[in-house]
Amino acid sequence: MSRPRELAREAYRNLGWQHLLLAVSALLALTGAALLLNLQAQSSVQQELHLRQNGSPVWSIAADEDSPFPAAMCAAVAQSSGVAAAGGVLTDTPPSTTVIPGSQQELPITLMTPNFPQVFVPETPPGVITVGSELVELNQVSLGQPIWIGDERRAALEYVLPSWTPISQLSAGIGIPVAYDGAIAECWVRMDPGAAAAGGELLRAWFGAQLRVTQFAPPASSASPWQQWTAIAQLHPGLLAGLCLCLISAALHWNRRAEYGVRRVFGSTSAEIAAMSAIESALVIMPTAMISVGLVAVAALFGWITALPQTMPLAVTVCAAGGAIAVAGSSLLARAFARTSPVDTLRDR
Amino acid sequence: MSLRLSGIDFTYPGSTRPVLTGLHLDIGAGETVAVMAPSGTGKTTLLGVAGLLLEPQRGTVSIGGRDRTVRDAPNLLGREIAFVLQSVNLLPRRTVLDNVTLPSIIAGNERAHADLQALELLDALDLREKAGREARTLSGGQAQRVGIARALINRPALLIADEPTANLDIATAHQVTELMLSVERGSTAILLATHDPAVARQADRTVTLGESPT
Repeated sequence: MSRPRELAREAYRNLGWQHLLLAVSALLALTGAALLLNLQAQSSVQQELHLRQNGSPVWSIAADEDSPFPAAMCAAVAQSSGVAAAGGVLTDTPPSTTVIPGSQQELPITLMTPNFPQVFVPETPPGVITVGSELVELNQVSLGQPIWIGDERRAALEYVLPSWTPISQLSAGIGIPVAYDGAIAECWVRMDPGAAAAGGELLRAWFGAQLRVTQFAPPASSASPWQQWTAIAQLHPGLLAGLCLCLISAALHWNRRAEYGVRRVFGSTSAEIAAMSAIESALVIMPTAMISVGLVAVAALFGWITALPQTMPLAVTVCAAGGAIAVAGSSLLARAFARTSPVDTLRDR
Repeated sequence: MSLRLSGIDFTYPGSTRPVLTGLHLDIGAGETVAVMAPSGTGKTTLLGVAGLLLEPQRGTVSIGGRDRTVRDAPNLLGREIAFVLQSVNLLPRRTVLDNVTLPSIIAGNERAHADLQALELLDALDLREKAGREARTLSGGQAQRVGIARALINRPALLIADEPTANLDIATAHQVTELMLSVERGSTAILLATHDPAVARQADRTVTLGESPT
């Protein structure tokens, strides 16, 4: 049955409920991929546009050489309305202390900001926050105190670890807001997006109007925000959608092993079965990919989603890539299942 | 066309227990031979070797006077060698006609020609009115008759039937066997594995695995 017309006809006649399931899955996966791509573009381009219009949200103020700022003042600025984060540049070497419970080894605390020493804490399940007892003894933390986990999350300290905890159970990743009373040469703030322009005034109000305040300049680029995003855009959503569809195809082919065995017993080769499966998948997935792109276009046209016109060609590419991966994967899977010994068909009772 | 198995030894890969040892079997053109043996004694393996689905470690399989191996299977399966399966394994959502024409289409025949051949066979098996129905709507006996039509459509030289009546009641089993043996099949040799002595009696000759065939 190596004649393409017969293979296509056979594939068309094979279309059934499994293919309907594949079509629905493909519609969801590929529409999701196209929407995800659009959202990524939207967010990235808007952020870049905002940056270009309003300037960087990061502002910095430098102290005179002979009168550095107290770090506590920079920490206090962080509490101001509109400030997302604050930090500073130390004038001298940061202090060291022992932070591993049960260990006599002294490790330096890395000051991420004046208030955030990086410490070592045990691996804990989500929601259980622990630190070593030495930190409590050093009066750096107490139960219930807010601490930072990783870079973003904030939680209250729930548990103090005994000093005999093995080092192997400890990992880094929690910052503890303890007051640092050293001197800093510079204080910087990162403003919330809506308050980006107010950073300079805020720093002057806290540290003195005569000091030099600078706004970090966004990277100069002659490319448009859209061109910048296109340069880094990747087809990962399409790849993921294609792999999801391959998994669904695997389940469908598994259910058709008996059919493949019968075809082999009556003379089909595994290559013919793979080709037939590729045609079946293409008959289902390619129209579905077009519908997915159409849905995104219609949603944008009616204003249900905000889509940049430039994302549409990429949405087409993502859907085509996802569809092609699914078709190729499905064909390879069919070939693999068809290569099992046809004698199993005789034993299939 | 004749089938000759000479000195066949077969052991499944990874197993140390031989399933077939020194097996000899001759089937003449147009002859029907029933193979009887208890379950697990190698009937299906014998059929697999005879049908070129399994390669024996020793011995030769000769079909129509020519020695054949598994490598010849793609050119012979469905054309010179056809199977009637115990579980039939029809494509359930395809029509009866589609199922019967499948080996003919695989063999490269035009669909119109295949349809004609299939309708003739369905006529002979009293199934013509079912040609357009989905295979899943058939009864067990009807499905097995469709399986026989599917096996015979390319007028194979060797028809291998693995317990074709095992899932049928006595009356239907008798009728199906009679149909399989009576349908115009020229010089087709039939190798038929069965548990049922009544079915075996309808064959020209019966051999029992473990005994020296005559």
